[in-house]
Amino acid sequence: MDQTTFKSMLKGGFSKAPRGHSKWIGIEMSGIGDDWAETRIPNVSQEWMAGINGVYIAGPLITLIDSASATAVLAKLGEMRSVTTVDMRLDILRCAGDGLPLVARGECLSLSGNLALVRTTAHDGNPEDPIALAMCSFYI
Amino acid sequence: MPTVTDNYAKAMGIQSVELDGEIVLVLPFREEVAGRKGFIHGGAIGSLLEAACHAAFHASDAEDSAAARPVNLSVEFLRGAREENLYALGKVVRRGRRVSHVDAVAWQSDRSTPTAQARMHFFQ
Repeated sequence: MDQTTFKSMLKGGFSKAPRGHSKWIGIEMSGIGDDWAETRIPNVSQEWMAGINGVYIAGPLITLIDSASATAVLAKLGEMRSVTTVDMRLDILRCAGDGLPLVARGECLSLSGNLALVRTTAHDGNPEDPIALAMCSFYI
Repeated sequence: MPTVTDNYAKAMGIQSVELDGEIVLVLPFREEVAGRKGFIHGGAIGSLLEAACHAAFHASDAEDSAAARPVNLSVEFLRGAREENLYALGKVVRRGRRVSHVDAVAWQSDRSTPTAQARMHFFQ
């Protein structure tokens, strides 16, 4: 399979996903490159992002970042493999804006043996003004 | 007593239950939390652990915790979570005046083989 076909297959994979947690949250693939992938939730329910007393809930962000990061690993690998999330560290910078999309862009920094490292930034429209930063490692 | 404090966790079906004489959180398996075939999605596991950390933190001092802000979350996935009940319990490791450290662990049928663990920090 050539790389263009593989990338379009990866990109199409999400929209065709018939089931599961990503589908329920409404995650879409919005971009893919040689070592990066971008996923988004077009409409985030503000009710979902708020805990008691207005405390911010990462919730859907965890899934969104996991999707972008795992797809970034596949983009860099250039082939379909099973990738397993080993850990994720998420730093929350601020709350997402009301009614804005949630976007996560993962960049696969390194592939070495069975280990992949990904740095992912989440924002709500402006990549220069992130709402969260994450580092994930994957077993490949 | 730990209770579910956010709408997202409630929407996923997370609730508090009594298990072995203790109140813990449970995420019953359903289609909405499914990941790859046969397993629960890692994002749902992370969200359950986050809910468990919030629950432990707020149970420790509900009034004072209102002003606290969660600043980070670190999750380690130890093994795949099968399509069955996933339990979680959080614990406040240190409650400081400015920074609090909260841990949570998730497990399925056997509590001694954890599925995932997490750590959160709250600032105030």
